[in-house]
Amino acid sequence: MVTKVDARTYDTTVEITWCAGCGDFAILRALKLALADLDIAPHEVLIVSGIGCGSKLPDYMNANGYMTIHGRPLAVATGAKLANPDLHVLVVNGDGDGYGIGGNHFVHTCRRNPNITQIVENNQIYGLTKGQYSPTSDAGFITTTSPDGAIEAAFNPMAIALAAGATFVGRSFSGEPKHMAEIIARGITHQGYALIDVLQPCVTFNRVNTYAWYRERIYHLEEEQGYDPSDRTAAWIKAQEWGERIPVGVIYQAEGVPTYEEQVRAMEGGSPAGRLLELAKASPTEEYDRLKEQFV
Amino acid sequence: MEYREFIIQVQTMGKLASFEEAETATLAVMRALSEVLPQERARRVQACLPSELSCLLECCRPEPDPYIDSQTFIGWTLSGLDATGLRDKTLGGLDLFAADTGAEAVRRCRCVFCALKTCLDEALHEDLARELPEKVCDWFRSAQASR
Repeated sequence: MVTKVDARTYDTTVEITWCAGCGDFAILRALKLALADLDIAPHEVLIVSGIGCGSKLPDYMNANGYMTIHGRPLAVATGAKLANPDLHVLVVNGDGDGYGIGGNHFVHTCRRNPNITQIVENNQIYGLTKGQYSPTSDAGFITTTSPDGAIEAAFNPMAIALAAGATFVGRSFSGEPKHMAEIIARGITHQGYALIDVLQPCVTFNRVNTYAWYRERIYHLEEEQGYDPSDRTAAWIKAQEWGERIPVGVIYQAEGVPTYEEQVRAMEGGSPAGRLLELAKASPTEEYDRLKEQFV
Repeated sequence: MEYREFIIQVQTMGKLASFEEAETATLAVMRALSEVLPQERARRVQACLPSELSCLLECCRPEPDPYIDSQTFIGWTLSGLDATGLRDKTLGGLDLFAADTGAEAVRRCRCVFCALKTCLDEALHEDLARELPEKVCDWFRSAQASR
């Protein structure tokens, strides 16, 4: 019987194929620390991912994992949560998967508010496919697919999440695993959809947004006197900040908003998983036949 | 030791092509150290370094993040490193599409540690090693100070 979860409970022997120095290592560690801190056992977690370097994370954790297709983990995660609300359902994917091809799911998940936590490994590039610019790449960023510099303004996930009605919007930096673990834990305990955008370097293909680049710019909202994450107007202003100053921490949190699964009428009789379990424990068929003979 | 002398030592030890490459590696390792060294320990190290390097340890926190591991540490060096080619394991020769920077980053980090140990009193070596993340402390301990 597991009495207290240790982060090492989540370790596997699977060889990790991320590049040395990748920010994903710290994200993996922070996630394990957060789950252990919340005393959540591996069988109580489902990690859903898409496609990309960061989406390999479920392979590297001793927990239920489900790698879906590019951009679709939020849809699958929402379904999983509806089927079994007792599971802690997390989505882990990159900025390309989450904000590019997965952008539509992202917007509607924000307003749907299922009780799931999404950790976006935002390295501002498509890494697995060797260095194309992504939705969060800054304008002017030169890559193989933007030889003259990216033309579009960067996607702002914090602002878009807020505008779409997300009830928890947070950001962290992979160079600070302790802070990351705290924000992830807060996201998991939040009742509703939680977005945690983790800024992380891609040491192989992104030579602009490096550890040094982020370190010079990030500042902690927890240390900003008077900042109230429940103030949506203040959160909107913080969500616009990028460039020379980048806030990390909980940008916005609204408590007490009903989750999607709490409002689905079909769930009133219990979750599909719960009902299946009840059926499995039900009397054997002979008993059913006897009762039917007697009363029908 | 003067700053220029420190960098040249790193360049020589690492057989690096240029002063700039050695300087990039040195600055990256120092910045990574600033993430893991507690302020108190950093002050003792700063006292032994040229000013161009000691200033990089100014931002050390009283209590650094205890969960920074060797991957995050080496990431600082990797960002400034061009990939080195890997050998094609099937046909031999250079594999044009494979690159490995990890081992090279660790090698350069060790060169910086060698030069750093030259500046520090031997009494400080083990104290410093104990503050470093797992594996990084091993790289530091195995680095040979050149006298």
